[in-house]
Amino acid sequence: MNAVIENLGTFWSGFVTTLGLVALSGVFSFLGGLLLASFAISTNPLLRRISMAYIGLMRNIPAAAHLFFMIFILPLLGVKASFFALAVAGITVYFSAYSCEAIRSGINAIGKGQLEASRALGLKNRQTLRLIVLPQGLSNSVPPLINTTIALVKVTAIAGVFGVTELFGTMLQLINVNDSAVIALMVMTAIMYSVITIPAALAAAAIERKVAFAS
Amino acid sequence: MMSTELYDRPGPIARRRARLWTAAAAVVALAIAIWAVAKLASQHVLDGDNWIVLTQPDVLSALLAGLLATLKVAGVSVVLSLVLGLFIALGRMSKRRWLSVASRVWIEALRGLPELLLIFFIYLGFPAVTGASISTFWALVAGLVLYESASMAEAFRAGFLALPKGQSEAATALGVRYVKNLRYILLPQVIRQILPNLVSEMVRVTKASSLGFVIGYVELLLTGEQAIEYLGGQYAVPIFAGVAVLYIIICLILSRVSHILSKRLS
Repeated sequence: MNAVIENLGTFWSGFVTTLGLVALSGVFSFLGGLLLASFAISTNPLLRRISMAYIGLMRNIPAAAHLFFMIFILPLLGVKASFFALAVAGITVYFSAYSCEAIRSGINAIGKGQLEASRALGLKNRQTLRLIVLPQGLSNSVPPLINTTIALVKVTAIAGVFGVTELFGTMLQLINVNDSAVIALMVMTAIMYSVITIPAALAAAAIERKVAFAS
Repeated sequence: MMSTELYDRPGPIARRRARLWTAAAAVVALAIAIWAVAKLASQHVLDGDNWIVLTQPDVLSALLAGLLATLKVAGVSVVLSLVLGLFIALGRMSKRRWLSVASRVWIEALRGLPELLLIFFIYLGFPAVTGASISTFWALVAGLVLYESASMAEAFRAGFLALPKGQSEAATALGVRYVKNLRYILLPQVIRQILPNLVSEMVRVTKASSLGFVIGYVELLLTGEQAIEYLGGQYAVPIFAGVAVLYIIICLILSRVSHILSKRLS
């Protein structure tokens, strides 16, 4: 217990690094997912293929392997960047595929009648996309996007193994010096992760209920 | 797939425009590909000598052994999390309030934690509490089972809730007891329903087993890392590519099976 109380400041800085990692890679993954989703729903068969191939490849490589590639192999090839930046890149490459799937599921959930009505009103494809598909599709995809972000939070822990001193990396360092307080340190880490993930999961569930109720 | 629903069927002008854009996109994609290849070649990544390493019998057999170790962890974890998940799902649906609350807490708490942390809880926590040591294999399996039991329990619960109520009412009316009802009437139907779910869980676990890398369980990723350490940095990219391709093949096969199962069952 003492080990935890003495190191609250260290935990806090790890927590902040985790939040930064989550925020940066979350935003980049969302943008990447948006790009991939726009490829996936485009009329251009080549772009659709590219998007599908990207998702098929990147989703099936484990997150640990992505981070291993970015943080272990890229520096061998002469890439110079901080572990933090490389971790953000690795997580973004992996989670862009999941964000794309979340956005696509939101777009798929739009009622067919919406599109038929838009066509019947004489809207062009581009107008349908901008006025009908995107606003509804994106709001539909908020709950799955939150769930994707929760998964992302959990994956950031792997970055701690590769030298980023976020929450998990901080815990590993503290365990190294206080090996008698292993359990307390791990419980504290668990609590700090739960502080992020559990409210997010509850929010996703609440929004989902609301959306389901509205439609 | 989707485009047919999202847009009007294209007329001749739209088709011509689509072809034009496809050609433009192809040019851009090609340019990016050429740039990437040139960049890699300038780093000697594409030198044939380095890639020959993948055809060497020792490297190949090491990677396959790593793959087998990965599949072993994944298989054992899926089976155990299935059993644990079923009990937690039953607890969650129990009429005894303390049991359903406890199961709910279990599910919510474990779903919110990183798999890696759970693996460490077992790997470092088990010896700290009991004084006995635990092998990396069982630490990895136990951590993954803890994590997956939560999502498995939710999958089971969804399966049970989707069954028509009449099924278990009829069983009760016929005087069938809880355990027999579960075993002969409910479970066979539920398992059929969540089969695709199970296979996609297999994909998740296969990927998550790469975390064994961290605690020193020699699975596919760690095998790759050891091969790179042993052979030298110039073989890093070919060996990593080999590891990644093996993961992709396994996961694609499993996803395919899941897809076929869900089509068949619906």
